[in-house]
Amino acid sequence: MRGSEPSGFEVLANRVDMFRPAKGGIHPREAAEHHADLLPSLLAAAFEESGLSPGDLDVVCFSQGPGLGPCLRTAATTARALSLSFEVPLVGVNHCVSHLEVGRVLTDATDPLLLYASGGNTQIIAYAGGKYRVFGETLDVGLGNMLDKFALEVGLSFPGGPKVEELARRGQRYLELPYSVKGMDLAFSGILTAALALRKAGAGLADLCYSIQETCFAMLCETTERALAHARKDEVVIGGGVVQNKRLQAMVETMCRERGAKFFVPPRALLPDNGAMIALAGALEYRASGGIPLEASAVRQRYRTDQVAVTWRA
Amino acid sequence: MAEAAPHGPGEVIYRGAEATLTTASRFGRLVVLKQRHPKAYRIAELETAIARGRMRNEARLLRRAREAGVSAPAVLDADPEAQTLVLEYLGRRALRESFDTMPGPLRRRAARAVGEAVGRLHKAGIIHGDLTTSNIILKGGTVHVLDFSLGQVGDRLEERAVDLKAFKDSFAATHLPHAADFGLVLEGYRAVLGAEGARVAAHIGKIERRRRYA
Repeated sequence: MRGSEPSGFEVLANRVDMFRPAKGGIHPREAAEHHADLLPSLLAAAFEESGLSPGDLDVVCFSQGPGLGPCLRTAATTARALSLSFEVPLVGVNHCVSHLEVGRVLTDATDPLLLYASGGNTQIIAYAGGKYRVFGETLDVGLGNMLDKFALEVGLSFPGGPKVEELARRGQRYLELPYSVKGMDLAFSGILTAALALRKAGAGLADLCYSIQETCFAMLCETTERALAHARKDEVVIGGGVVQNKRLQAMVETMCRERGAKFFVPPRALLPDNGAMIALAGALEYRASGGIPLEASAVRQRYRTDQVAVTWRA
Repeated sequence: MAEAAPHGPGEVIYRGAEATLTTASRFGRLVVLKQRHPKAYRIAELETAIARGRMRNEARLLRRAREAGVSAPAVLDADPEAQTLVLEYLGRRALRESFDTMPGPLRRRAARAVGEAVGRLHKAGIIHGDLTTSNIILKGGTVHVLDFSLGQVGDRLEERAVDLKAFKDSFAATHLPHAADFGLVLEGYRAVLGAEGARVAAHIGKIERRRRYA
């Protein structure tokens, strides 16, 4: 990643290799081993693609949290090693905030609300009173996790989202599922239970996938719209693996159009978890307030969005 | 503090995500027409089910809240075809607009009174579902609670705590300088619900810790 505000950023390389468990869900240790195995070759590939050498680096950025401890520590250790050996500053980035920043900076949005839906996270975040605040969020599981669990139970492979999207296109009948919105918060686990019960009772998989999508995505649109009204924002950006879903994008776009809000979709490669978004958010912080000392670089598994000192927007 | 002048008929009071509130003259008095907006992003089956359910729900819960001694707009008429409720007009300004600029003692008294009103709702088995200071009007020292469209009947610890937790979050995000006043809301709440209120307040913390990164 090269650049600064307001002149703009350019992604020089953005290498992604997502961990896919052989079977079942993600085991933190296996995922961390995957990270450790792949980091050297990914780094080499990123250097080659960008045409940069270590001497060209100004700052090394890493995700300090939230996330799975073993995975965070693997990347943090690598970042510290790079920072020390190349003698460049280090910046620890909040993962959730980086999704928002990549959407804000790389689109024409100025002060957007972020609809962030991924495996582990489902949050609605906006800037208010000098901080990024979570206006709404899931009360149980992230939407992606729910889709993964559903996929696993009905015999679809990981990750569940793309399979559900594909099958949903062939769905024709809406099967009623619990629609669970509490103010700006939402809940998904009841939908999973109900969907699996319907499946057991013989419901077609395509109809079920269609019904799950329509229900969950309408809940996301509704809470996002509520948060727009409440936070008094008129721009929406999206982030996270789940928002790659075309049906979800179309629904959020419709909601925004009806409301007179603007809708921004960041470049597709920057929607799911990726390194470029961490670099971009880290670059913003670095320009505003410099790097962090080594002793402040410990990972924070439960790093909350509203704990981030947003020095670059003050 | 001077009361804001009331609305005239035909004014749009609020254009929310779910509905538009307009004043009108009916039955020789000023009323509020609450018209739900259908959402084009929802498929028709889902939209119809949600619209019907929420309107019926709101009318029922408003009645129940008033029976429990909480001031809430009276339902004067309902038109399911037009998706419109005709409600009693209660005042112009939501607490959201006035809270941060109220003098300290008045503000703290208001926070406590709001907590008492929520306590009475919960005691009557009503979960509001969308507690925010936008849905509260404070007039002449009385707390009026609005918009029960996301409400439900329930008295479980979890339901009550989720209701309060959502209120706590929106309160903190809206009233940054006075976020600590939510403690007074809880104080008023406990004053009505006693030991059960204290259990609910403690359960909010449990819900917060349950969230992955909260």
